[in-house]
Amino acid sequence: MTSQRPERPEPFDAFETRLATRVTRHADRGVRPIDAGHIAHEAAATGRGSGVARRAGAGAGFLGRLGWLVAGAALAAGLIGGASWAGSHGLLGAAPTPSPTLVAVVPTEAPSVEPSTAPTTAPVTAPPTVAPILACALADLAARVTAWDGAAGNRIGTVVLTNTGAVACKLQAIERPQLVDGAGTVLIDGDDPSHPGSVEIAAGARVTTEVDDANYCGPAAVAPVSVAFVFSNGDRLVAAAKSPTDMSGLPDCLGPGGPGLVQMHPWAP
Amino acid sequence: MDAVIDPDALPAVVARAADGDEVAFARLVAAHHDDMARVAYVICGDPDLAQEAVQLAWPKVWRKVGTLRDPGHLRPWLVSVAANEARQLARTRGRRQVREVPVGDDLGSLVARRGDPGDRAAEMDLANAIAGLDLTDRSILALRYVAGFSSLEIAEVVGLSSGGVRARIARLLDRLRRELHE
Repeated sequence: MTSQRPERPEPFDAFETRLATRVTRHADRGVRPIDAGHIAHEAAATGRGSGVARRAGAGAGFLGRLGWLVAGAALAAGLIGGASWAGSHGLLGAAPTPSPTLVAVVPTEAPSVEPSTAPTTAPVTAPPTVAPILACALADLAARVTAWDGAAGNRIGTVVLTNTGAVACKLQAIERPQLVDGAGTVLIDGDDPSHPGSVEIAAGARVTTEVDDANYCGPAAVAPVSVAFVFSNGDRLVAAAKSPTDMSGLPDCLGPGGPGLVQMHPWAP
Repeated sequence: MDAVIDPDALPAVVARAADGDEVAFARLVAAHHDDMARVAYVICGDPDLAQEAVQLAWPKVWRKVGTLRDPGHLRPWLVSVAANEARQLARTRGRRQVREVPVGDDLGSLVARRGDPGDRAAEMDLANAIAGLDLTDRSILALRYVAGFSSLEIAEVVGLSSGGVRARIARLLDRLRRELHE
């Protein structure tokens, strides 16, 4: 342990103490000898650059050398997770959020109710009435692929979604993504989401996601290649392609026997 | 490995790493790679995937370490990045079924070389119990009992409220008590 904890974890009871010992011993099985200097050098070599291109470079450096088949799925997750974590752990944001700003990530799980000493008298003033934020209507959303990057057989698409409606609306943090072509064919179909959160998008505000895809071995696709999102109510939003002839989101065929992969990261400001 | 960095020296090491000093960055790798791998292993259940997750994390750390305001937050940040990589890999590989997690056979072959039979059985019970958990519970288990995260910190990684994390911890402990015969 080389650094201070920002917050102490809740104390363990006797079972948890034993469990922690056992799990930590079990976890030692994940440790392998490493060459820290080599890892640092590789990280530096692949981490240099800027923006999304850096992320693609990271995949090319590590995954390309190691020959792993599926690279793209993991490339951006840590950034998103790290960014989420960063908000409460002293990390500076990469860039200021443009105005008008959204966005709250709203856990759908109800928070636990803490024991409390409730006041015995009713509040004197009634709370102000707040209009509920409704789910985004398909007609009020516009999405566009703004970039495709890739490495080691995968492609990473950056998609910007705008709430073109007059009021704020709510969207699941992750939808089911699809890689689609200009003829409307679904080239790779993603999984239904399991992410518990949602995002609220102010009127006129934008959110961004990255969509990873890999291993397309099907028939020739028709330009342009883009991304679609299937919402939980069955609505489907097709993002405008980067350009009318763009095919750069189409991943290489890594193995005809293997399934294609497409997945998205949570919408974020 | 776990080459400990003196807490007094840590801010300078982090600052040099943020300035692009590979030697300083290597000290961070040496100090934290194994911690990150432990957490990643419990999450994804495979030592190769765990190492892959941590190796994917380091270039991101390289790019972002300059944004770390408080070096005291370095370790939980690193663990969070690795945990997210491990979760992503676990989702991907689990769905693609490239490789099943060989908990029973793999562990049996490895632990057969050491320890008494009671310890070996207990370890296999634990490994099988972990393998039966879903990804969120494995993540909570790793972050709470290996990394020592609070419910709030865990919540940031797994995308739940801190209250939701506490509720899941309670259910997780009930389940493990039963499965581990405690």
